[in-house]
Amino acid sequence: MLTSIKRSFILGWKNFKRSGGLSVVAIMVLMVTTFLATSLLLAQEVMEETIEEVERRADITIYFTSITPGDRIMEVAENIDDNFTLLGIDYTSQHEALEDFRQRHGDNPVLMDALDEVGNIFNPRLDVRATEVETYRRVSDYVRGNYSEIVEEISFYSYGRKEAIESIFSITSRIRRALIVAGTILAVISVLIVFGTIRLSIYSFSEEIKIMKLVGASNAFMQGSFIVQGFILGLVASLISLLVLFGLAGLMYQGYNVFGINLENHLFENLSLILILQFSTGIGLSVISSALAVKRYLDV
Amino acid sequence: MITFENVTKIYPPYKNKKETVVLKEVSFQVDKGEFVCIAGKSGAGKTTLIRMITGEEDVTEGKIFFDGEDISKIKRRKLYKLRRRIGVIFQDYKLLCSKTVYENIAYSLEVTGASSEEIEKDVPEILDVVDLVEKAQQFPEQLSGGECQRVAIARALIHDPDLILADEPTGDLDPYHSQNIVDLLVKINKTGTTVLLATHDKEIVNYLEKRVITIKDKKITSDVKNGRFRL
Repeated sequence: MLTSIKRSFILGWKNFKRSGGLSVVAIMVLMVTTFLATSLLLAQEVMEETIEEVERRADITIYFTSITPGDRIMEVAENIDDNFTLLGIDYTSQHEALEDFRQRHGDNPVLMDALDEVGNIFNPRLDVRATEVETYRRVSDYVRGNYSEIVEEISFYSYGRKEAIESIFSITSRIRRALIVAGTILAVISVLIVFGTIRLSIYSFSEEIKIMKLVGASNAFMQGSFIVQGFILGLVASLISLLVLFGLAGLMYQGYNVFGINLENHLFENLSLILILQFSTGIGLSVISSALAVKRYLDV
Repeated sequence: MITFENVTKIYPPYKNKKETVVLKEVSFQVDKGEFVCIAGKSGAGKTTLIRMITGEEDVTEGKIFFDGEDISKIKRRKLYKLRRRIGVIFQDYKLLCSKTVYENIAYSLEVTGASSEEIEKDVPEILDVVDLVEKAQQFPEQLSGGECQRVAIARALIHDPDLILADEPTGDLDPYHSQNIVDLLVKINKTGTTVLLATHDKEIVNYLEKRVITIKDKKITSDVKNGRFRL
């Protein structure tokens, strides 16, 4: 048994070496597939974070009357937080709103003069962030229904905010769906290409497989050597793909950020996942393809 | 050791060709340790007969027994056990192109699970017998037809089989090497190995003076001990 396993490894290695061009082609195809699989995963995550960032910016603001005490507003905030699933809710007092405005427009003397003239015209507010447009609608209705005496305005109902938020969520939802569909299509195509290439590589051995069977090789012995060959192909392809991936990440090191996401950091944060994905895709695909492809020629 | 019981082999219709009857109701028996020549013209069905013994071809009708076991009842994935007891010298050599001469011969031992020491001892010995020691590291495409034939012979003999099936083993050999190979088969037969030699070479059959089964018109037309080539 041990001798057979050892021989399968030796024969698999020899097959790999002697296949020359076909091995190179198989490695290239596998490499592209593993690279694609990892890139798809990373792209999906980056896109997801980007989408979430966009969605975070599609918030609503509840403006309270200027005489509403801070404690009362905090109480409203707590009630909203208890009743709805939110990404976050932030309170800004009248004073903080004024300071914020001064900081942003401090270099505009006309605005500053006007502000000095009229005093603090800002209202205390709550900024609410959620993941679904429906939540915004329900929060707005809840606040309007329960706290109308202290609420001056809810941005969801004004300035076309509602339409803008609905539009943003509709677009991000479509992008998510498109990503899943594109990812699935690419993955299926890649698997088919890998399987076809490995099959072609083993087809070149079909006559030899027949001869090996005729001189007394068992199916297990035959499959063993080709599975080892597939393993080596997958391993080499995964290693090269990994080098290319981190090479490209290194090139992006010069501060390439998408909505605050550093791609290189992202790679290192997901290192274990990437390694598992790379090797399981490369080696797994290659070994399964080899085992299935060689099976076709064993019926001798 | 081998028993053919009313064996008929018919190849099914293919494209525009009708079905082809190759052998019809063939019956004979070969005992352990016998040397039997299967004589017949090219296309008489000698190769098909050999391929049916190894399970490479299915029998259309009738039965073939190997040591009492019906070959058609053996599952394909279990055929390797039968094949390890047989050494086949194929007419078209059937060498592994991606392996060297040494590896081609060693492969027959490797699949049986022979130890590395055994392989390292036996392969050079058989290479010496077929006069191919210097070609050990060459690939089949670098050899002449005669050399390929000798590699095929060495591979068939290396694992010391119970039965040797030789399909035109001297077809590509010069008279000197033909004589050597025939003498080698006789020598192996004397050690108790059964030999079935399919040939259309009159001189070899007459030289051997062994049992001769003649196939003509899809049937056995004669089965003579110490026979001569007669069509």
